[in-house]
Amino acid sequence: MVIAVKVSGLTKRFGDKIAVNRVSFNVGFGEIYGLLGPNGAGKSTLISMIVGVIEPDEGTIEVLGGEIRDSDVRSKINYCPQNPALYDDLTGLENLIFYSSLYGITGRRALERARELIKKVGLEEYANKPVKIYSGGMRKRLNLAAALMNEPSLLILDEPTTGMDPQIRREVWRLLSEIKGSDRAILISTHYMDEAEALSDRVGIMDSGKIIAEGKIEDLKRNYAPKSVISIEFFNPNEQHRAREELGRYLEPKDIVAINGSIRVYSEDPDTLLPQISLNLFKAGVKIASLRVVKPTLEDVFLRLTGRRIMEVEG
Amino acid sequence: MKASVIKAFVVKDLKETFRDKVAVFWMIAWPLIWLLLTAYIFITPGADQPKTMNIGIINRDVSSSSPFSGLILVRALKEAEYKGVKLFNVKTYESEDLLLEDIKKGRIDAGIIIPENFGENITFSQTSLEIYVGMKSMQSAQINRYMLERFIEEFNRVVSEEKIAWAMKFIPEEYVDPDIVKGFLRGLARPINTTFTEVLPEALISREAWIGWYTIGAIGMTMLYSGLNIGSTALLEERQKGCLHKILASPITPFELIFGKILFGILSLSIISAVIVAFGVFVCGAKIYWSPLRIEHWIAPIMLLVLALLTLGTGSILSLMVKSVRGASSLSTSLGLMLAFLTGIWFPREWFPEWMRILADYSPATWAVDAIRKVIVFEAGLTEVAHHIIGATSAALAVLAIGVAIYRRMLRKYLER
Repeated sequence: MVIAVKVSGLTKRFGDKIAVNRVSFNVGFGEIYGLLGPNGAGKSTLISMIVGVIEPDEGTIEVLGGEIRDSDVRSKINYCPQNPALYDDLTGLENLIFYSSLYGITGRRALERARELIKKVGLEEYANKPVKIYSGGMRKRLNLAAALMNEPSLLILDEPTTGMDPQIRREVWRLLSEIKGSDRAILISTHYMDEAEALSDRVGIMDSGKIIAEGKIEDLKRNYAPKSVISIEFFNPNEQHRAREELGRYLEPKDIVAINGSIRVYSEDPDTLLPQISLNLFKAGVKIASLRVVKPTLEDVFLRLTGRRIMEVEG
Repeated sequence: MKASVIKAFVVKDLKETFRDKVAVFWMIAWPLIWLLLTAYIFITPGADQPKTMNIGIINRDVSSSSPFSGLILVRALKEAEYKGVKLFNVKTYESEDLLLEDIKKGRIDAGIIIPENFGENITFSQTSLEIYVGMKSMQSAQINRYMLERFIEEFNRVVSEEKIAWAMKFIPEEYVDPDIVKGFLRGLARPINTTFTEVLPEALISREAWIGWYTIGAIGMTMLYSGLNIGSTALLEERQKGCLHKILASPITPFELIFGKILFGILSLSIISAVIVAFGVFVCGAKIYWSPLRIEHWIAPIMLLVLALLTLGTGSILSLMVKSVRGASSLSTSLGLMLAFLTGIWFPREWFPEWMRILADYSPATWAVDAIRKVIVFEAGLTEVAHHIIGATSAALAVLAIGVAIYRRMLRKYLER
């Protein structure tokens, strides 16, 4: 794999707080690398350092074989910030043309590219309307189009679908899958597990400024998540506490995780454990709505590694 | 430095600014409204013409047969003209109380009471006149009094000439030289023959030139608050919109960003200046001399550029004191308007008390505006405004250098944050 981004020992402190702590990872051409972690994990700071907007305190960043300060390198990358960077009084097309000018793409070429992209993100009808009338989802899509104007070799997206409705999120995923190619590397930060799972070839899980695990999704699940997960849901969420006490009599506390009124039990042998749980909870008088074996997700990986949920940290 | 990048910033900022109705109001409509009000309310058409006084007369000398009777005086008042304009509107009164009441209420400017036997007394000895001048304002009272004094002086001159001519009939020519006697008598009547010659600048006399003066003032005023505004919000606005992050991640250099912002400021202020000049000349009737063939007339656009750089640079200094675009706009607009009114840019500094003129005397913005006014309103030469040009340009370059340093520091701090 040809390396597009090589990050080594990157550290950034804000006063006493270490936002990014000795982070190292690589992103290769042809892959989408997902930085998954809760809000406040340090993903945006890490991305800001990679795009050269924030200076790191320690560590090195090599982008496309060069320094990020090099304008030739910068002209081959593009960055899609978390909050759309758009000008309300300009039209969608004008916004795209302005951003393309910063990359030396002007005139007819810029206009054609802007029209092509605005069509691709489904905003053709609004191309000549001022951005101030755009909805949140439309702004996000235009923001993404702006990041594609220079056909970047490295595309960096910071939480690209936050705040979008599920249908538009899937459209964005489809678009990102379309633009993925052997000559392009994509680095994406997200706190949505489904997004990381749907898009990423490899994932770096971030928590408290560190990458705590990294690899292909299946490898992460194999290495950090249990073989299977038993999901227990209740008619009355208040039953969760009693059920947890009951399960704690014969299971390790680390294998029982309470999430939003339900319980996930990690097990290497679900076929044996499932009937046992069912019987014991019945005897204890706990009313169960559903009891089933599910496949582990990245959420389970994060839970196993940190003892917390990604979304819990966010709240 | 890539021209396409700078052009991108300029075009983007111009579109954003001139599509924003509030910005257009403050940058263009507001100075035009001021100019219009000034041209048609404060300098009304005909304001450069001689003033006509409304005066009331009580003539108690109606039956006199003297050649200088009260009737003659009233007729002279009615017929008096200056530069083709009637000087007095005369209204006749019967009662002194009514006359005084109308003066007190401001209905007339002054009242003259011509006593009985006015004609007889003026012919054979000396007479008197009672004159009441309304004190509606100190300045109008001064003008009214001056006008009446001048009229009476002229009337005195005519009467004395008539009386001398009459007296000469009784002096036998064989004893004394009649010219010597005539001169002596004239000397008795008016020992000093005063001659007033008006030497006010020709251009200032006309209403059109006054509007020209205010047109430049409107440019100065707008440049002050708009320039300060643009200068103070240039980077804050990008940051507040969340675009600075993306811009700084692009291949452009901080210098290109700063240069683009300054060039946008200069261009937008130039557009505003052109609109104000066109409005002043074609709508308000301002008289402005400008010919591209006259070298000294190029001082005007150069000084406009200097003024733009001065205000943009000062604006960037202001940005150090604020944290938001709204704060920067409020501070720059209020400071700009205050400076425009206090430094002789909008109001003539002669109107200010002595201590306040210091502000105008030491304001580089006023130097630039004064240089423009002197050249294109009063047709001054290069040497007459050289000190203003040197002072304003030096100040603008110094402030601009500080401004660029502040912008660079802001960007560096943003990167290091």
